[in-house]
Amino acid sequence: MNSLQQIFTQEASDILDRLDDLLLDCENAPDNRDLITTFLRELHTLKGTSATAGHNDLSELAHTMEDVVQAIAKGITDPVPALFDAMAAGLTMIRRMVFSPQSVTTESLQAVEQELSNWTERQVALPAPTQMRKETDSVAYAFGEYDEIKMKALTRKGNRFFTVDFNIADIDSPESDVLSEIVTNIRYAGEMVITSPQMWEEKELREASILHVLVASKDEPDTMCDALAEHGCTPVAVRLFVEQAQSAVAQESIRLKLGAEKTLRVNMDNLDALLRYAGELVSLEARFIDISEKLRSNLNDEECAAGISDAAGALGSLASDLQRSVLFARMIPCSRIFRILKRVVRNAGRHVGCHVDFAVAGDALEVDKGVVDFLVAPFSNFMEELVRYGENGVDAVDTPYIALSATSAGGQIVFTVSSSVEPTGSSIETLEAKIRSIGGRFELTNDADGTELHFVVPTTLAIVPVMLFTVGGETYGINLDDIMETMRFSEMQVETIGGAPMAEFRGRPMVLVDMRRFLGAPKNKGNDQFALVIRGGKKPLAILVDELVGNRDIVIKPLAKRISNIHILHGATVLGDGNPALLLNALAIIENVENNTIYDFNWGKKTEPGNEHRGEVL
Amino acid sequence: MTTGTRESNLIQAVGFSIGDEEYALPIETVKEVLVAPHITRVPHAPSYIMGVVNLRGNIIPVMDVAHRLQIGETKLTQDSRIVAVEQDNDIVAIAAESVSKVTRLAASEIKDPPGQVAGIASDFIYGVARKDSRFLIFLNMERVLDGNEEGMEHAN
Repeated sequence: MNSLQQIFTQEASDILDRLDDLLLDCENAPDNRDLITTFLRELHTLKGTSATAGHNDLSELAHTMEDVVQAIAKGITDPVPALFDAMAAGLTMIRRMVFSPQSVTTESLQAVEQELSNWTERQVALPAPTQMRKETDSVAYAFGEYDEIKMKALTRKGNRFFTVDFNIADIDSPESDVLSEIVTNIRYAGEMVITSPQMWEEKELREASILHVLVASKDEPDTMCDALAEHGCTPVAVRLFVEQAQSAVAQESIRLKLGAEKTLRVNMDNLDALLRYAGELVSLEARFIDISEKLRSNLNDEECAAGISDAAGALGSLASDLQRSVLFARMIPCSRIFRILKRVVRNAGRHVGCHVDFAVAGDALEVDKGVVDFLVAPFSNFMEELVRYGENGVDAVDTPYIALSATSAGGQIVFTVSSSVEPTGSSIETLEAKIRSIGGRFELTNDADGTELHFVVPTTLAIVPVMLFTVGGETYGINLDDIMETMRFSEMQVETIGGAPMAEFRGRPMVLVDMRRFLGAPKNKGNDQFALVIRGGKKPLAILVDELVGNRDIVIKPLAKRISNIHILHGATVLGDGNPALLLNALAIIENVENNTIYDFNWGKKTEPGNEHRGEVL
Repeated sequence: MTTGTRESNLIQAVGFSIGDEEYALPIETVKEVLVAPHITRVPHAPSYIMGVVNLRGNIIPVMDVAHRLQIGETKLTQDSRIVAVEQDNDIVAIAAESVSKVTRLAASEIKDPPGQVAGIASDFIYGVARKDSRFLIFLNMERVLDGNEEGMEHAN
């Protein structure tokens, strides 16, 4: 992809995100002129950008969508749900044209275009110019940076902004006297800021029937009208340019400008590579410390050893800072996931013929992109199922609502879903399993008022706290959140029931799994072993390991394609000595044992039920 | 091995030995050759996966080609090397008992395999070339690394 196309893809992606939000907002508040104005402006930009990048089909589709929004703005077309369906289909089609053009067929594009055109064609039958003129406050002026500065200055001087409309239906060229008269005489009404169409847009001027002029003035519209009429330049309408729109335009522009200065687009692969290198640096620190220890003990070179040790410490500290910075760079706002969920809830509501109030909070909170990517599919499925098939479905509830919030707590993100609908179906189990697999927690409560679901996920999947332990001389790790407690095997009371060894933890019997056998590891030389109580599913499980190495914050590395289908493995990490260690997935171990797919319960010598062993390795 | 290699006139191949046989891979598919580091065993992995190694921060699986070809097992010694191979944008390492120098030979010297060679099924072999008094077996890496059958049942 060449650089122009890359820039186009990035820009289009941003605009489409904003258009998605705006479309939902417009549907909820179709009378809000500010939203419509912003929507038009975004579509206009998309149209221009895509034409510049040579995507004429896309530009035309954006143009058609613009016509539909104009039709809503002018009150020609009713903002009915089916119209928003067509608009959503239009946006989806544009996304496909941008990101997977090979999936777009001429037929599918034409179908979407046709559906959209159906909503604009009504424009021909209905509009009367006088009716249209009433809505001049929805004019989408193409404000430039200079206009923004000028408007701010004029606002400070106590001006208000008005759209003054002139009939230019009869002009045949931009050099027309009518236009020059307007430009000359507009000063009697106030100071001109911008026009729509703009004065250099020959074609548009020729085609337009109305020229909108944005004027800053301290007068009232009637006074302005009279002043202009006195100079032979009578406007057809003068209307206050909606202040909110004006400030929204300014704020958006400021936001974009700030964004342009402070942010930079970075390919995720580059960030992943940086994170990997930072992790390597952390490993190097441990190796340097190891070398300094050897220098100290083998060569008795205390000075040299201390020097290396200090340098290693400094290296480690820098590496940690680097790691943290890269992690921050991977953060994206929760709004990315919320935007998708809004669309899912809206569409599912449409499917069951019911509007669901969907409120979100905390969408500015930031979370690692990996977490968002991981959650988006199961979360969307859950929301869809909640709306479509919820117990006492949405249609059985008077005012169905879903409230979703994200809050930050101790390096984790807490998502709360409150709903008047009770969830049912398998998607909730899938969501729970997914959340638990990344060390998250999950809690669902149902009462008369509805359902509340809390789940906690780490803000990043890249660095996690794990407990490292050895099994048969090999080092493994398990997410610390999945470990409920640890205990010396010699202090445990074990009995065998039906061939399965059971141990008692805090008065609760649970299956005890020998990890040497489970992992096919070499036999241990003896010594005392440790039991870890792990959770992940509904039933916790005790696993028997050899030695506890300790707790570490580690960088998770994905497993290569050829071994990524081994469910009991969650990933890998690099230890201080540079060797890889594997991370076990607690939930998958429990499922494996429950399903008895890998682990054979009939291990060790068979003992009659009731026979007890204390600290004996079976 | 890419089919394009045979068409070009001169081929540079990295030779390595496992058991009594000498194998070769076109140099462009070999990403790196390194002294065998610690290999971490991977539980529940296919039996021909010896484990994983840390290759500059990436965790790469190491394949026992002899096991994969069902001609025995690769024995790791001091001379052993890990040959990192790039295939379909994925890196896999091969454990070799030793690695020889890069050999140059004309494309025309690589002949189609005469059926089974050294007990290896012919679909694993891309071609065979004579080098001095020995044969170099060019592996069909696409087929060798395609782990869709044997051993995968171990991965749950």
